[in-house]
Amino acid sequence: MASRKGSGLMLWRTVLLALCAAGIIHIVMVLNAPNTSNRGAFQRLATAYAVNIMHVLPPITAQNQPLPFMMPGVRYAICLFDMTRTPVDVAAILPDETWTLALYSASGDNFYVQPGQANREADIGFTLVPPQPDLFGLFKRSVPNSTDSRKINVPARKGLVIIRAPIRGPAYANETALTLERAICRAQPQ
Amino acid sequence: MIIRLVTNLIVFALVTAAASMALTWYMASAGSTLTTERFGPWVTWNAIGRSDADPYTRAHVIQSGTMPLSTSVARIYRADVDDEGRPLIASCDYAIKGSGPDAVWWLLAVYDTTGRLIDNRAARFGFTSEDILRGPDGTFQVTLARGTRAGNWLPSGRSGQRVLVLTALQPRYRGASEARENDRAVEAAQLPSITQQGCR
Repeated sequence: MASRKGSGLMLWRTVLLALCAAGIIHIVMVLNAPNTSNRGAFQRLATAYAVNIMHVLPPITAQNQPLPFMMPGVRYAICLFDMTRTPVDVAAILPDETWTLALYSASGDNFYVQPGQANREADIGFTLVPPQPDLFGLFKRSVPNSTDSRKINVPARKGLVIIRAPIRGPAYANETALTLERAICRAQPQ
Repeated sequence: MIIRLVTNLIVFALVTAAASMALTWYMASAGSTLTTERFGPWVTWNAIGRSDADPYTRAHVIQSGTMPLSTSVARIYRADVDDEGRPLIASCDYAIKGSGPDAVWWLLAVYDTTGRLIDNRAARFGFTSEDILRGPDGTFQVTLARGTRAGNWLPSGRSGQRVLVLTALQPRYRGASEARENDRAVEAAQLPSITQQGCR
């Protein structure tokens, strides 16, 4: 009787210990998710698109949807930037306030977003500046904030530029595509 | 003694693995009150896309495979259930009614649970603030249904669970009031209701 009681107590202790361990593992898994997951949007797109080129995606439909939950009423232009060798220049036109140009790190952080302006066409142009390695190359740190508004300090060497252009009606479809095609994303010459 | 030890080790391993995976999956996919806000059937992640987002929100973004716009310029609301809390399923009809968010632009679209758009002959996947048909009072009704409907019909496809996503670009209720509760009330009032109309 006493042995059975002791055995039950030990089992409960094991379960309690397991729950504590699960909590610790959970925290580690969550904190590490951006570094360990291969399901992120950047990883998915990297297998299909060349880097440092702006790609204008065809209209989003059920058959053509590179990422989950993409917006069907929106045309996209994307560029996977890779600054392993040189900085990357980005330029685009945002014709109105519904357009956005957003920069993401490979782990999905939207660290910069520029919406268009109401009743005014906005020409956007800047250079993405990579984080600098420290003396031993063991750790990376961001370069000091640039005072040049045409330079954007990027927290990661790889990431995404996404231009979203809502289609304001069938009559605007061509114009929207043409404006997106004028967007630029290219690595600076070495 | 050895049998008891082995049993305890197996229990430990099973409970640890199951609990850690279930907790991580739940917190990163469904979210909690720490990371999300609920307005009836609509759920929105408070810090999605932001570089100062909490670890759960960052894990959610990675797990979902999306590149959402930051909450500084957009709010993304997701509904997996109707107003009564029942899952949205393709074989049921739903009326989605409201005036829509006061935003520069918005889009209401339907997906399956993996985020894929629903294939349909009409090639209709959603409605925007610009192409939706409104009544004289400015409100709209979208019918999410399998078969063709008059007006704003959103095809729900053949079978399976459905997800509605409402994306509001530069919503105007934020910062309109100093009291957060007032903002919440304005935000809640602008989100459409989702009413089940029948199933087949």
